[in-house]
Amino acid sequence: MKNDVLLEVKHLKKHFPLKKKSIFSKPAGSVKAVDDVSFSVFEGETFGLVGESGCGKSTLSRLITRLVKADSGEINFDGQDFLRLSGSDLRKERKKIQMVFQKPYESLNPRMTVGEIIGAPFEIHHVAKGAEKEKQVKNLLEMVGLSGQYVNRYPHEFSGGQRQRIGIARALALNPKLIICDEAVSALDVSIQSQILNLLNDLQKEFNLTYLFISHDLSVVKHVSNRIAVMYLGRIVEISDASGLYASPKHPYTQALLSAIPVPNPDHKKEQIILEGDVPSPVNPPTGCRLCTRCPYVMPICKEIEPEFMNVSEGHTVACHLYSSSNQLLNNDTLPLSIKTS
Amino acid sequence: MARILAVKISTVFIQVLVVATIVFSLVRIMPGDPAVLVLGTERGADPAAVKEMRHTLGLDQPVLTQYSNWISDMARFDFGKSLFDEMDVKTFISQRLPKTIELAIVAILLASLIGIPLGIIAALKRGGLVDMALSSIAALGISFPVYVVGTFLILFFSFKLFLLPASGYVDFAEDPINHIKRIILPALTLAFGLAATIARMTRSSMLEVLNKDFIQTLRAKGLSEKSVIFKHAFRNSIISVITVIGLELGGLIGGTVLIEYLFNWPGMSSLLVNSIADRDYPLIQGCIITIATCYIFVNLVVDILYGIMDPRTR
Amino acid sequence: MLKKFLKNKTFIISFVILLPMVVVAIIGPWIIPHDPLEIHSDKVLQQSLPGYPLGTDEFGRDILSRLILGIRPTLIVALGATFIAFTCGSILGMSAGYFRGILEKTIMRIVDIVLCFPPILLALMVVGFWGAGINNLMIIIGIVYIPRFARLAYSSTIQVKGLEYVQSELSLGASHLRVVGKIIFPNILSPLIIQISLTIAAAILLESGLSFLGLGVIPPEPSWGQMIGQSRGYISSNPMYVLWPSLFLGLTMLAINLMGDSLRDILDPKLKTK
Repeated sequence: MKNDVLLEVKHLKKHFPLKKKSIFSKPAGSVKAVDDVSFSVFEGETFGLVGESGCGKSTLSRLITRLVKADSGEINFDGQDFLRLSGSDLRKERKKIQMVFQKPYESLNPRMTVGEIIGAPFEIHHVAKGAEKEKQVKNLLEMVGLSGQYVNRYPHEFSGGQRQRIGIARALALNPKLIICDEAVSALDVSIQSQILNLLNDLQKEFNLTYLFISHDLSVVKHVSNRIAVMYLGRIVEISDASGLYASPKHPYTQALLSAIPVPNPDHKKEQIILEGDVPSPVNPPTGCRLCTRCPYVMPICKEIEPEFMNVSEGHTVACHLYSSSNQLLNNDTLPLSIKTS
Repeated sequence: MARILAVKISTVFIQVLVVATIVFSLVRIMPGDPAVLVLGTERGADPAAVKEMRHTLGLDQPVLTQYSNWISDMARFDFGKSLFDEMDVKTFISQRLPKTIELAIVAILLASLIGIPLGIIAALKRGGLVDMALSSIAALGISFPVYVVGTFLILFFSFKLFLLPASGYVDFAEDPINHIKRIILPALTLAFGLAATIARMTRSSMLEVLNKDFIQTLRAKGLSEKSVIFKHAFRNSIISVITVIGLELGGLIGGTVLIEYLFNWPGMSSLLVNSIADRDYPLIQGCIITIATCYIFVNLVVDILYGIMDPRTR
Repeated sequence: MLKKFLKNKTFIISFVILLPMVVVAIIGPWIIPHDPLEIHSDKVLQQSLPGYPLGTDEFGRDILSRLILGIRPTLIVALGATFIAFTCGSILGMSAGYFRGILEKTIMRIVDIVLCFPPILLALMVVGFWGAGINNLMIIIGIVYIPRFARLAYSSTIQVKGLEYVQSELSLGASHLRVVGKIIFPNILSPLIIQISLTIAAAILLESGLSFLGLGVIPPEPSWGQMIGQSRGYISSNPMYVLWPSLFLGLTMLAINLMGDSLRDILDPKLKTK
């Protein structure tokens, strides 16, 4: 794996203002969907992003693809200040970031044939047309394991897994560098999931693709990712390489998430960490650490001061006061509550 | 509640203001000089007469002055004098408006008296004769314009059975019997479409309510079927009937325009139609503002009524 | 798709009624037995005469010929007005739903205000100042029904815009014109087509209503509504004079409404009412 940074996100912020009920009412708050998020994705890797639904993962993906306008922050992509691009520069750079969407039954235009859907990127960017376009489309279809004869069929004639393959073919059309998979397999059956994951894997090797893999499903993310970021209430709480994260999760939230993965062994007893209460509303997130209302190890400082990111080991950073320098746990490599992995 | 009310009332004022502004600008951007159009081709050629008419219509002042005059006149309900018989537009309107209101109220009453029982029967005997007749009559009611229905009624009641007079108006104070005789046909025509809609609405809301758990509970409690239907089921479905009347109000007002003309009923709408035919601009303006204002206010009342009847919308 | 149309009985029935109507409207001038404007003072208000199967009106004009030519203005006004309403309304509604922001607020606020008035009142308002005639009627009725389409296009656009296939097109960097015209418009077309059939019916109703009041198609040019309006003074002398245009108008309206119902069943099965 090369160590060139392909995508760098710095202090990215997006708050959606709430609608006021009438002109007379007090200004409403805003949903803090993505609040000061920073991370980097290296070329050729698969970067996993996990978190519960509603934590801001999807907004983050739409910020990176510029479907939603960011409030503040920076996105550096392939050496360019991506948020400042506009017009033809943006069109040119946009080709390099493509998305695979979540819902196979909604991500393909029902009024277009498969050929038109996969051909759309060529048309929009004036890359190819006519017979050349058709050839490329057929090529792409075969690349994702579908027959080239499907070009004139409509999306409703395909199964969920096949549709997702079509979506992948569309994303591949413009030879992108980064593909954002937003819950790309969540809507599929487990057996189909692994087929699609394998396809993604093969394509990555073949075209040296970088994936930003967004999912709420930890086991899927574990299966595909080199590095993983954990998101909670619009913030990233922990970033680590995959093996490190699963072997020794640091943040209490990550620990809770991991302990919730079912293990296919009835004799295996594991300690479950259950967070109390519900996720607080993103309109009024708690001050200090976002988890402080639910964290089993909450300390007075957690409610006051936002924890900074700190390195706990090589390539493993976490934002939690349990590991800050004033806390004795820093040098203690064992977890406050260890998770026994089989 | 008070705040919602305040917002609603302020919206009403904005709506009236918008109508006034539209009417104002329609006169100003109409093709041709209104003064010439009023005078007709012969006298319109005389510059002195045109100048005088422009003055009468207030068109010789700067537009902004015209507008502010127009709005302040509006606020006092002063629309000037009719161009033809020098009568105050206000007098005209005060004579005509009650007759339209009478017609509309009688029509709503008739429609409810016909529609609600029919709807209940149709709901209780689903698929029965009344139910079937109702749905086919409703389809016809949507398709046949009110004035066609009215014409058919005239043909039948006046020229076949010789029961009721075909058209006209007699003052109630002069001859109450004839007054009532003459209101029956126009009101019935106006009520026709509304009755069908009310019946359909009553039917579906009754059916919905009758299937609810609390009705089953009442039945299980041993309440008589009569009291289940009238005390509970019907009371719950009356809200939707009121909604229908509110929603159909626009159609009803549109209907009066055609029906007053058909039956020579001297109401607001026929005044408007005549004044349009005569190009009597002050009278047209007065009529449109009055009808629109009434319509907006009645809508407000329905809205408030609805809020009172259904605590969920409060 | 064609099969679905042919299988729908309501559609077939309404089609069978409307097709000859349209054909007659087109070839009308060549098949009328008499000049519809020609006055015969010796044949006034006859129920039927040799050569005048449907009788004559108060000027001795042939009712059949007037009925045949009377379809034209009604159809022209209804189709023209619907076209205006559909084009302007869809564009306004789609832009409001697509671009949101200040554009959305302005357009939808105006639409709401216009929508709350009865159409005939709006039409009378404009006719009162601008005068009648086929062209004016077409424009006026078209404007009156713009809000219906704007409303519908607006809500459908908002619904479709959030869907992933639109998002994917946007993330590809497609132009707004392409997204709105090629992606969103085809996907919101079904409800708009249903609305077209409803609006044609409403426009015919409105045109004939205005003509009935003498404020629509200008005499002596015939139109059904106007014929009904004029005939009401002669009900006792020739009841058939009022019956014929009334029946034809009612039948046409019935057929168009049926067509609207069948279109709804065919194009949008979700909306089907029990």
